[in-house]
Amino acid sequence: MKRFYPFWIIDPVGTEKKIDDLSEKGYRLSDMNFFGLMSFEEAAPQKKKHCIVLEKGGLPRGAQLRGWECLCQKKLFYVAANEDASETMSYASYIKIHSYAKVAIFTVICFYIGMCAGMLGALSDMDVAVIPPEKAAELVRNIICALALIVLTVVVHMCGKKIPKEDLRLSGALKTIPAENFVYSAEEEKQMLKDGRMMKKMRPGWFYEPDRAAEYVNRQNEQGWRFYRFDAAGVTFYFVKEDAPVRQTFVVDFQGLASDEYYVTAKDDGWKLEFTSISRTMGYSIWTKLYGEDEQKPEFYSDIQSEYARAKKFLIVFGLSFLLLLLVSVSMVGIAVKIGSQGDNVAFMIYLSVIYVILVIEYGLFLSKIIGYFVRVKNKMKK
Amino acid sequence: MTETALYILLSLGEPRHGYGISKYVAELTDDRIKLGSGTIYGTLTKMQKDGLIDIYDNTDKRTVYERTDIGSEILDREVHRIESVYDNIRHVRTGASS
Repeated sequence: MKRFYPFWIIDPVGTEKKIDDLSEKGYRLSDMNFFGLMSFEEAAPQKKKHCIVLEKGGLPRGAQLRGWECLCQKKLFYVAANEDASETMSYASYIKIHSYAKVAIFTVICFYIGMCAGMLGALSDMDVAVIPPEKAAELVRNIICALALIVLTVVVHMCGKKIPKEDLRLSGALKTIPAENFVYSAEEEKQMLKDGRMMKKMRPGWFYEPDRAAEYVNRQNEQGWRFYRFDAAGVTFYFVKEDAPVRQTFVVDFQGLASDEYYVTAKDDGWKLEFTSISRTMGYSIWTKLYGEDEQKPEFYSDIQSEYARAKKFLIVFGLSFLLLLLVSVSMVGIAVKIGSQGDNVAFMIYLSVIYVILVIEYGLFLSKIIGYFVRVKNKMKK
Repeated sequence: MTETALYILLSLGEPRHGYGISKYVAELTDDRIKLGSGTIYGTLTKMQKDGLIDIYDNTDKRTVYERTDIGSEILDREVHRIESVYDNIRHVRTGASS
């Protein structure tokens, strides 16, 4: 018997449930390809838990000892089954796939919207009666594709909700600030701010200089202020007043798409997750750790090579993004000035130029901070 | 090979997860080497890509790693290299003192 589940990659949990049901009805999975075409062979009905794992290399040895059996294996994934329903496999790979899928779909949507905008712009000067039918059909087709992709994004998002919440919470994908970090209620915080037992400091753009942000927190620590939490946007620092200077390590770490292993290892080692970005592709996390007077300062990176690798990744991802935005903004200023100088929509073009000049300054500032951080780490490595 | 990579390979004589490796290395070196969480995660990811280690088990909590045959071979070579460096130093020092 053959079954076709083309959306298995965006709905792995739902697909596994379907394979579970077929196993109970006496169909054992024997093969599956990347497009979701599955082959089943008749077997004795068995209640089994199935798991699709997006990992190369096949079923690990330890999982085999826990009763997992590999039903089929391909280059990028494998399907395993276990008679014990309490046994689990990691969903970390799904979280990664979901993030990639969302970014890919979002990029294609932007492309289609751009196409539609371009076509509308080109057609707006034409008389409706003389618009060639093939152009109109192309525009309609692009609009339909963009709408279909928006629907697909919603479907991907809904399917992502089926992933066990524990896995999502573990990886920090559920909230930017873990709920347990809010030790005080909103009223208590308000009162503490009034009493001077809590202070909040806004520092836009601090994120692009992780080393200087850590120095800033340490300066506050020396005056007895303990970092408490961020606001939801990650821009405002909240500190709580302690009786004596505080010994606290503050780390901004950039890992891109980190697996659960990353979060678990850090938490096991006593690090407290303070913030994790919503964007998983540009994923960064902020960690703190308190330590005693007789203890050595804990380091998130114990060797300079790892720190340099992080700074390099930071420079490539964020540096290139801001460089691109900077170039686009500079071009936009040029275009606005050119159009304005021709006497068309002068007021609007001045307004547009001012907006883009502000953006150029902002992006340039962020870019210089990112490059500065990279240079400092590179110099540290040379010493 | 970096000291971090060497100790990670050495500790994976039996399957261990990230924090388990960190604890083992700290014990082995009398707390001289405390591997940071970021360092461990980055090094494990790279070593897995290079085929030196592999996933031993993958549960919803932790990824447990083990050394591959290639990893064992590389470790043997590195140990041999360190032994020969040690022998050379001893030889020079003994020669200098005699």
